Amino acid sequence: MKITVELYGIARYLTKTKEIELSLKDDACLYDLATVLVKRYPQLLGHVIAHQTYMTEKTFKFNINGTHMTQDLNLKLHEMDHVLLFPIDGGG
Amino acid sequence: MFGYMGRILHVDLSKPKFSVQPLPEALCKQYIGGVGFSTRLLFNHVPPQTHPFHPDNALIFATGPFAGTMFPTGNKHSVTTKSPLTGFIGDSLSGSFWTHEVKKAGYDVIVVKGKAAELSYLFIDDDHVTIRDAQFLKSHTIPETETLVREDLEDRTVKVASIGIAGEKQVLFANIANDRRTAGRTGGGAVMGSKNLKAIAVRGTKTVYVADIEKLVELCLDLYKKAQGPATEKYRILGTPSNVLTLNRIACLPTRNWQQATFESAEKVSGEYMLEHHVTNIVACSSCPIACDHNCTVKQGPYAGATTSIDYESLYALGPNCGIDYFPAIIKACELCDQYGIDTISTGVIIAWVMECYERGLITEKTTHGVEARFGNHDAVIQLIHMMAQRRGFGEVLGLGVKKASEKIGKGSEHFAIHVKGLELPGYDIRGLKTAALGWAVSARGGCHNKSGAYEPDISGEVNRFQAEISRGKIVMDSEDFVCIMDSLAICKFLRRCFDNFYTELAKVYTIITGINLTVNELKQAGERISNLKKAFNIREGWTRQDDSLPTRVMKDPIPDGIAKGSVITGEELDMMLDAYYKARGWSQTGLLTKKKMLELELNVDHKGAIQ
Repeated sequence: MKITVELYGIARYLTKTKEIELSLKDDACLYDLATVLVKRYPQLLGHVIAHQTYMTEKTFKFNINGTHMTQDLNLKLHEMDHVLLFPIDGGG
Repeated sequence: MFGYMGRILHVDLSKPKFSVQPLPEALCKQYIGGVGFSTRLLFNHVPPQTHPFHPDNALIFATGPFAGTMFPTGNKHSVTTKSPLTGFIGDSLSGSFWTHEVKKAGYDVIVVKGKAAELSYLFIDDDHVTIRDAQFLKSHTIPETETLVREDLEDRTVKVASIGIAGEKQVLFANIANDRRTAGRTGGGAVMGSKNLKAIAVRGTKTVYVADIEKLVELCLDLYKKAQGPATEKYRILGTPSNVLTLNRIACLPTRNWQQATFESAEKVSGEYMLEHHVTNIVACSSCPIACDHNCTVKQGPYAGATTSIDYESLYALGPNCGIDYFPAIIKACELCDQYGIDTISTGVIIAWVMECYERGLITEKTTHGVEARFGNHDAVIQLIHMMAQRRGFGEVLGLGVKKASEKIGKGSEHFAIHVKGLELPGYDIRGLKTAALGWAVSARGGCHNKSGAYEPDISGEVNRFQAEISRGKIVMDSEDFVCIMDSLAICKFLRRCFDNFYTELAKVYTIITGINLTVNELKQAGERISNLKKAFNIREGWTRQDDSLPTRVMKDPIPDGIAKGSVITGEELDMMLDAYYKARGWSQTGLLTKKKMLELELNVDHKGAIQ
């Protein structure tokens, strides 16, 4: 299935990428997406995605379709989902 | 004493007279420093119902116990007064070298009262304090004032906190700046102007002693490493303007005076765009390993040469909120605000309100003295800043802030005057952030993101941001008390994610620095005590439950765009969350303090109106 990943904040800065489309197996979960993502962009490791666990670092979360924040790597994805790598710190 | 200098400097500009009061040790443990100290002193030293511009109002500068030590970001101070913008407590933080210098001069707190006969400046030279003529500083900008004061004292190393022209003119949202940092909100600069006080120059040569220096070194080395890791990467690289694209994506970026929550040109005013096109250098405050201050310059075009640092809140207010997508104009607007000494958030929100009034035909070019105040017209933004900072023409009304200006213009413009308690709102569309909405409504200083950080549970997904719930009362309470601790230790909020256990680690650092044993529970209770005292001050000055409200637009006009489309805060939702918040606080249903709570916190607020 096709999943669109949107990158924000440092994730976008490190990868020089706003958005990418990934092809994942049909029953893919967030962990599968994170695996593909860090393979393509290893520079995310230790900054946005944690080494080994592939959880997000504490300043980031995955956001599904702009509405649902999660760190549940077992979360099943669906065709055409947009997964946002989303910084959660505000302040200004 | 360790950590503290043990002295409060009292300045009476009317007489003039100076005195030094020993810092009571009980005050240290109960109120910590910074905002805690200044709230207690404000309550004690300002008579009830004092007009903010009356000489009896106090302007209090308070450092924290970590200032002057190696603790990262510890060089901050609070500026607290009765706010002319809200009529309630006004507290705002600044920091850097001036803070450190105050400690080195031998003071934890400076309390300024009275009014000088002529424009003056205060020079604190260790134990020698003088009031000096400042007629030569009249109508000078903040950067000019700093330079001129140093020249006058023939010492380039003197540290200066000052007001600009707006402070002199008593623009109600005028600020006080030092070392390129600003105590920006709630109009402390106007109070300083009302006292004919243009600047406070400080030179200090003393040492801040630490109880256990070896342990502090060990602890700070670890903290410095963390402060340069992923926990602060956002602030160090992109700066806070990286919020623009994230908030836009989740429809929380207030646009065109909160008529929309997404901005079609967000990319053009993003932190990413700023970094690529305008950032010339990134600088840090004194003792800060983070360095978030992104200095921007305009290289060409009508605003070539403009230079200033840009934060998210300034960017939101003077950019999307005014429909501006031309980044050089935003830099110019921020530069002007910094020179005149006015708060960028208030300024942008007021201009956006003017623009909506203009587009709806409630005011004309005759009202605006020829300014075509349409959204997106950056020339209008620049003209209006000049007018309001100088209180010239239409700027006379605008200098009162959006609440009072909308009351004067009327014609229904109050509906879209974006403020809480008279303080203009920062850049988070709270219609789709229900916890933040409660936090903004109850904030003692008025609508504010810095006094509760209540947007974080919403944005991080800890709660369902679209749903109002009873549980938000406790969340907001905890968040406010947490912020009171940070503001009283007077450390930077950008350090907050560098701790594994915030209270445990900070209680330990406090003891290491001051030698005063402080338990986690005592630290937590100090946060609660300070929150309650702020509220007690407001009640004394006339607060009622009706003041814990939200702008009419936020409660009547649903967000029309983006994924938060349809979101609004209903009266029922706000009432339910207010009830929950007061209950969590242990207050009455009308939001008044109870005797039980007062005794529990040893608040000692001797005023009937504050207690039910």
